[in-house]
Amino acid sequence: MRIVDHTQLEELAREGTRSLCPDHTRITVGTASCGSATGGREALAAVREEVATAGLAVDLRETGCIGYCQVEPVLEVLRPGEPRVLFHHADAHRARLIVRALAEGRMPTELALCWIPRNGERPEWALPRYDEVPFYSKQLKIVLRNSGVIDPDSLPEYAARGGYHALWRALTEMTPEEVADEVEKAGLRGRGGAGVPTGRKWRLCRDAPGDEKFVVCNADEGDPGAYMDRAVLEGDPHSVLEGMAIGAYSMGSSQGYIYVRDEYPLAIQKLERAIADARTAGLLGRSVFGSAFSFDVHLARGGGAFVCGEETSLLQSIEGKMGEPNQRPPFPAQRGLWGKPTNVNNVETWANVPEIVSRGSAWYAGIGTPSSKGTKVFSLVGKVQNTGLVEVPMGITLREIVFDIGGGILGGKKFKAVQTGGPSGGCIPDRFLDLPVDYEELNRTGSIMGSGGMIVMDEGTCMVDVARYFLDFLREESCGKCVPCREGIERMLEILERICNGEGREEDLPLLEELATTTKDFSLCGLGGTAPNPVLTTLQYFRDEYDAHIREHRCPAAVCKALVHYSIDYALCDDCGACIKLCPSGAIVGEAKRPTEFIDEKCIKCGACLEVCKPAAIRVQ
Amino acid sequence: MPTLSVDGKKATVPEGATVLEAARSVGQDIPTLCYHPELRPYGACRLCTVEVAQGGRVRLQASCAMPAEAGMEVSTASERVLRGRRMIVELLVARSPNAPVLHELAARLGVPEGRLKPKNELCILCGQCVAVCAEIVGVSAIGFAGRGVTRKVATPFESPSLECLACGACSFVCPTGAIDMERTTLERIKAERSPRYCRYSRLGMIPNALCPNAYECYRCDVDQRMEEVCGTHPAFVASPVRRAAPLEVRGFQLMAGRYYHPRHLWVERQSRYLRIGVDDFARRLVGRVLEVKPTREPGAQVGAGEVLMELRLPNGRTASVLAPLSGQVESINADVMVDPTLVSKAPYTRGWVCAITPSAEATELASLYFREAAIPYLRLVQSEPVTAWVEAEVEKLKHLLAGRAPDLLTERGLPRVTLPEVLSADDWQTMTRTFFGA
Ligand SMILES: Cc1cc2nc3c(=O)[nH]c(=O)nc-3n(C[C@H](O)[C@H](O)[C@H](O)COP(=O)(O)O)c2cc1C
Ligand code: SF4
Ligand code: FES
Repeated sequence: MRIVDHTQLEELAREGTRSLCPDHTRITVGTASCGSATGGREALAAVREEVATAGLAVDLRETGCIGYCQVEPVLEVLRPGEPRVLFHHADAHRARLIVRALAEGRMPTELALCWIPRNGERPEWALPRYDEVPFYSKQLKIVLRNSGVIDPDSLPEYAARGGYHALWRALTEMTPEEVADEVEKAGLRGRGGAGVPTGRKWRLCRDAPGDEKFVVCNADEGDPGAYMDRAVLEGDPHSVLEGMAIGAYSMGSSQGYIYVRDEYPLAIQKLERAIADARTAGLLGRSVFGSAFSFDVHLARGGGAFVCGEETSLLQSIEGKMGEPNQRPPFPAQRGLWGKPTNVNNVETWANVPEIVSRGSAWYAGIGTPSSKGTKVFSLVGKVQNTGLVEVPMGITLREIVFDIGGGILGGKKFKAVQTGGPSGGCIPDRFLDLPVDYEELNRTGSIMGSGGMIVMDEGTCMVDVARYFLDFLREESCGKCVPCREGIERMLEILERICNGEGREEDLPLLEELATTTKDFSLCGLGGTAPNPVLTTLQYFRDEYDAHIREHRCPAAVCKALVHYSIDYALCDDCGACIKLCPSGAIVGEAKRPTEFIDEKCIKCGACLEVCKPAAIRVQ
Repeated sequence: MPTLSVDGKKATVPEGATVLEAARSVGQDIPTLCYHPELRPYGACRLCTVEVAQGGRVRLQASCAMPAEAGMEVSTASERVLRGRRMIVELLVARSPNAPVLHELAARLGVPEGRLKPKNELCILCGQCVAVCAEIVGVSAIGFAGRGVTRKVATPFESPSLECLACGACSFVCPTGAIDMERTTLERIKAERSPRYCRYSRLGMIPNALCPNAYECYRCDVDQRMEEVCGTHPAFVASPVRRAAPLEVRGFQLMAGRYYHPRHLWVERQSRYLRIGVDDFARRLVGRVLEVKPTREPGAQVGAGEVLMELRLPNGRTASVLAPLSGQVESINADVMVDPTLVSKAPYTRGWVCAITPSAEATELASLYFREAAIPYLRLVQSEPVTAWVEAEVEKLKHLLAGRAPDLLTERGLPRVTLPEVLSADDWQTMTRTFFGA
C-alpha cells in the first residue's frame, strides 16, 4: 500500500504498536552480527522449540544489538501490563529455562539483567531498573533509539516509534531551506571522523549549481573493532533511509547511495529489505508520500579497503574506479559522484537527522557541549569490565565512560591510557580522564573523535608497541599515492620496530618526531593526516617508555620480547616443578621437581611459566 | 581575476589559475615533482605544499592543485613548509638514491643525509607517465598496481600492453628516468606487432605510414626532427584526447577515450577489467528501457558476439546487448537492474551495463572502433575511421525508415519518436538485426 496521507501513516504506526506491544507475550532475541556470533540464533531456535512444546501464545521476534555485547546473547520478554525484561547471557540453555518459567506463569527474574520501564509500571521484582545497570546508567540513546527494540525488518514497528514522521513533517511543513536550517541550528556534526557541521555541508551542496545531485551514506566503517554503523544498519535501517530522504529533500537530490562494505552481509540484507519495504509503501521512489519529491536509494558495495572510507575515494569506488583519494577542493559538494554535487555523510550522522527534525533543533542543541551537540556512539573495547556499544551525550568525561559505564579495568589492574578514534587516534593518559569528551577537547590531547573507536589499555600495555601496532596496520592501508604517507609511515614503522627490538638509537626520537609532523601536515588525505597520532601522543605522554627501551634496553610493561628477560626468584620458588613440564622450549631445567637452572638463550618469552607459577617466583624484567 | 599575495607580493591571475601558477607569475619558485603544466594536477608528491592564510585560518595546501582565490595570503617558504619539504625530499632520496633530480633538490634545500636506510627504486610514483598516457595520448596503456608500499606503475593485468603506441611520452615526462621506453618497450613491440605503423601515425599526427626502420627510431630522420620541431614531445602537440569534448557525428555523441564496437557498444578500460555500455546511437534507437535481463551471472564466461543481456522495451519490443569480447563477467551494474531507464538516460556514465575481465582481449579489442577528439582512427588494425562508421550507420537507419509519414527521423537522422513504440514487430526486428544483432 502506498502511503499518501497522514492518517495512513498513523495507521501504519498503530499496526507497529500492536506488534511491539501485543496482547500476549512478546519475546525478542538479539540476532545482529554480534548476537549471532555468541549464540543468538541457537537461542532463537531454542525459544521457538520450547514455545511450541509448551503451546504458549508468543510473538517471537528478532531484533538488533542493544549494545551490551559482553552479556550477549540478549533476550527480552514483554508480557501485557508489565515492563520489558532484559535477559543476559541467554544462550540456548538459558533461553529454554526462561520459556519454561514463563510457561509456568512466572517471570524468571533470577536470569534477568534488568527491567525497562514502559508505561510507568513499578514491578515488585528484585531486579535493577535499566538505568540502574552501570553499563546503561549514563547512556542516552538517540542514534541507537530503536536498535535492540524493534524488529529491523518491520516497517510498521519503525513507524510506531515515530519513524517516517520526520520525513512527513519535512515534506509537508518545511521548506528545504528550513530543513537545512534546523540541522544547522541543532549543531549536528559529522560522525564519520572530522566533525564537519552537517548543516553547513548540506548548504554547500544545496547551493552548488547542478541539475542532478547525490546524497551518499558512508557505511564503509573501516576501523578495526568499530561496529556502531553496523549496529545501526542491522538494528534500525529505516532510520538511515529516512535521514537520507530528509537530506535529499533539503539538498534537492533525488538519488542516494549507501556504500556498505562487503563484510557486512547482514547489514546489506536488512538494508535491501528496508529499501524494498519503503518503496512499496511509497516512502522511497517516485513521488514520496504522494508529493512532488522523488528519492530512491541504491546500495553500492565496497571491497573493504580502509582508505575507501575517505569520501573522495569512496565516490571513485562507487563509480567503479580504483578507490583512491583526490585532492580537495574540489569538494564533493562541488564536484562529486559522476561530477555532480554530492553530499557524503556517515551512517550515524544520517540516523540523527529524523530525530532532529521530529523533536526540533532546540532539543538537540540542549544536549552536549558548546561546540559539540547530541550524542556519540563509542565502541568500548580493551581492558575494561564491560565492553560494547555505548551512546553517551557529548561532554561526558572519559572517566565516566571507562570507570562507570565500562566498570573499570579488568583484573584490578591500573589504567594506563585510552585510545580514541580508531587506528589513527591518539593515546590519552590518565591525567586527562576528567576531560569532557567532544571534538575539540579530544583534538587538544592530540587524539581525535574519529568514528568512535575507544580502546582501553592497562598497565600491562607497552606504549611503544601500541604505536608500532597501529602503524603496521596503517602502512598496509595507505593507498600509496602521496609521498609523506607512503614513505613516512613506512619509515616511522621501521624506527618503531627498531626500538621494540632493543636497537633504538638516541637520535631516533627526534627523527621520528620530524617524520610524524611531516606526514601529518603534508599528506593528501586524512589517512596520512592522522596516521602519526599514535606516535605523536605516545611520544608526548609516554616518552619515558621510549627512553627505557632505548637507553636501558628495557620494556617497562614487559611486552617487547627482545627486551624481556625471565628468571626464577629462588627465594619464592616452592620447587613444585610445574614450570619445567610446561616450558615449551626447555629453558627451565632441573632434576625431578626442583628447577635449578634457567637458560636465558633458550627462553622464547612465551609467558607460560608465569601463568603456572603459584608462588609467583618467575621474574620478568 | 583574483588578486592574492604571495610572500608579500601581489599576484593577479586569471580565474581558475592555481596558487602555484600565481606564485610563479610573480617570480616565487616552488619546487614540484609530480606537477606538469599540461597535465591535470595529481597532488601526490606534496613538495609544492605552501601555507595559505584565508579567512583567519592558516592551512597547508598543495599549491599545484589549489585554486587561487582573492584575498589569500600565501607563504611559499615558511619554516614549517621548508621543514616538511626537506623531509619529503629526504624520504624520496632514500627511496630512489640513483635519481639525479632528487640530489639536486636535496642540495638546494639542504636536506640531511644518511638518516634513512636507502632503498633502490628509480620510480618515485609521481604519476606523470600514467597521466600523460591517459590525458594526452588517450590510451591508458599504463596505470598503477598495488597499494601502499607495493604500489608501482604497470600495464593492466601486468601483461604486455597492446595498446601502447610506443610514442614515448611516458619516458619523456619521467623526472627520474625510470621508464626506459626506447629499449624495453620498443624491442617488445618490434617483436610482436604487425603491421608496423610509425608511432607518429599511431599518435594521429601523420597518415598511416609503415616504419621503414624496424622501430629503431634513432635511425629515422623524421623522428630526430620531430622533437626539435615540436619543442616538446610530439604527443603534447598532437594531444589526441586532451580535454576532448565528445565527438558529435550527425548529432550522435561519442565519448573520447573509449573503444566502440560495431554493435553500438562502448568499452572502457577500468583498472582490472573492461566496462561496457551502449552508445548514443543505440540509446536513441531503443528509447526507454523497462527492464534489463542479463543472461549471465557474475563469474560466468561469455563469448564474443554472444547475447549478454536482453533489454525489455515499450510495446513488447526487446533488444539484445552482445558481448563485445569474450571473457568473464565481472559484475552487472546493480543500478541499471534497479533503474533500467539509466541505460538510455546516462549511457556513458551511470548506465553502464556490465564489466568483463577479457580473455583474449588482445585480438578482439583490435576490432573495436576507437575515437579520439580531432583525429578519429581505428586502433591497431586498419579500417574506416569512426566518423565514417557512424555516418554509414545513420545512412542505414535513414534508408530503413525511409518513406514513412510522418517522418520518424529528423533532418540529420535522429529519431523523433520512441521507435519501439511506433514500429511494427517485424520492422523492429529488422532494426535490431541491422544494428545490434550478431
Ligand atoms: C582514511 C579515512 C577513512 C575513513 N573512513 C570512514 C568510514 O569508514 N566511515 C565514515 O563514515 N567516514 C570515514 N571517513 C571520513 C569520510 O572521509 C567523510 O569525512 C565522512 O564520511 C563524512 O561524513 P560526516 O560528515 O557525516 O562525518 C574516513 C576518512 C579517512 C581519511
Ligand atoms: S595520505 Fe595516504 S591514503 Fe591518503 S592519499 Fe596519501 S598515500 Fe593515499
Ligand atoms: S607538485 Fe604539487 S603535489 Fe606534487
